Amino acid sequence: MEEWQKPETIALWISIIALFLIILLSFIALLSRAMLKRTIAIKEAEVGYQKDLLKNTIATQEKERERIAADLHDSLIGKLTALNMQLQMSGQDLNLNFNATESLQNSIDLARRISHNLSPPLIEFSSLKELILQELTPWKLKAKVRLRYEIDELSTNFNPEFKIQVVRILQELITNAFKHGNSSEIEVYCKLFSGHVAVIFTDNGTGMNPDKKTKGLGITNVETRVSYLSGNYKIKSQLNQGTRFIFLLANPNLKP
Amino acid sequence: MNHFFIIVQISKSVAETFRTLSILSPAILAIGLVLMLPDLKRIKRDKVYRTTIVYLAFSLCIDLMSRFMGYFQNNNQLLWLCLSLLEIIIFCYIFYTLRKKEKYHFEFIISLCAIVYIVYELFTINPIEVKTFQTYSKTISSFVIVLIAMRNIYHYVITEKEIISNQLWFRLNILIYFSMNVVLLLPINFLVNHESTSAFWIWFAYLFFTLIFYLGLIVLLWKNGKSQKQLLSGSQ
Repeated sequence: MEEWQKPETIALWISIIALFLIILLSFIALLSRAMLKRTIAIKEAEVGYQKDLLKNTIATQEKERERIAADLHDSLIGKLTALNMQLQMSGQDLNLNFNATESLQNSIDLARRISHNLSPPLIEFSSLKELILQELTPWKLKAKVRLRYEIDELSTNFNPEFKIQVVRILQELITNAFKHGNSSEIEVYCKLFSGHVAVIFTDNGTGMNPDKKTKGLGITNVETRVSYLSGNYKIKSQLNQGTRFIFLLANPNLKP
Repeated sequence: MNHFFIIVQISKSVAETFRTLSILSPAILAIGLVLMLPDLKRIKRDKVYRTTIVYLAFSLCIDLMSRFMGYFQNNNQLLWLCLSLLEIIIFCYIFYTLRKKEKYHFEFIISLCAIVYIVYELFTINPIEVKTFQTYSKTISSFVIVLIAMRNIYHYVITEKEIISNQLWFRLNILIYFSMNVVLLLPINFLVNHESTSAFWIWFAYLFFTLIFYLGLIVLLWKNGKSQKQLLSGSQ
């Protein structure tokens, strides 16, 4: 009788093959898991790198803004003020002098506004509410502006980095609302919401298509800053019915 | 390989077809060696390249010897055991060279056990008696190589910063081929004695996988050499 005809030999072969297939399948499952873990780790590293890059870009941008603001404030405004004083003391044609000093004062105010806009002064000591109000106040002459701020300032002291980014986002939205949206009314609403800072910006302008594939520089800028603050945002808008931006930003005070 | 030469006696025409096809095996080995041997610099520098050339050369020798023995003695089954021994030694060494920093104790122990078993079979089994010829040497050597390959591939995937597809496919080629060997060559007694179409198809599958394996080894090593990268070796 040949070896392969014996039932015990066939049983042994079947058992060995079954066992081997189990080992092989287990290995395939283990390897697939390892590969998946590896792919996730690579993706996470890529995202981390992109975040670092974004952080550095924004930090460099802010530093540069601060430098320009300081130059503008310390050099240009100082020189313009000195010139203004010289002109006032020269005692020549009073009428001519009055016009010149008025123009100079306007230039100084403009330069100061630009400087403050580039880098809000005393940001460490100002609350987020004060900083938002600083941004909104100049527009009160032109439109109806409202701030609803429901965050307890005493217990929530945001870091300067967070405050400046929120201000930058609002600067962008305010400019958009008046420049492109022809709005006559804007509202900013801030609230703490389940470990996040919710910021809602509403205008009554011409609106936009939120699903539009190509985004303008302004919206891209907003997106970058929201991502920098580990947040999310949503746009609700319809043509001629205004726009609402809803931001949910990670509360910096709750960060590990 | 060559064993096909004697073993398959299903029908004359099928056997003839198979015999003709089996010539592809030494042909591929010879072409591979001709392509790889002139690169003397790499043979000196690269352990895996060198060992693979040795393996291909031995395989070619065994192939030719088995044809010779089959023709003159009508039995070449002893070479089956020799091939198993050769494969376990060579691939154990290749994976030893390919490892990074991981320990190799487990691999050494199981390889040693397999070698002891094959040597035992070499002295105890009667290769002349076809009806009772049931060797597990090839299954065991292939199984051990598969285990070593699995551990090596797993380590390679989890520790290597950048997975180079050539290097991964070199390992996978070995894993796939020897996995097939475990399954296909386990019922060797059936394959040797049973004159049926199913036995023929198993031999045909074995021939097919062997040719793919040789081609894979040659192409992967050749491609790796062409890109001038540090070869597959990990701890040179």
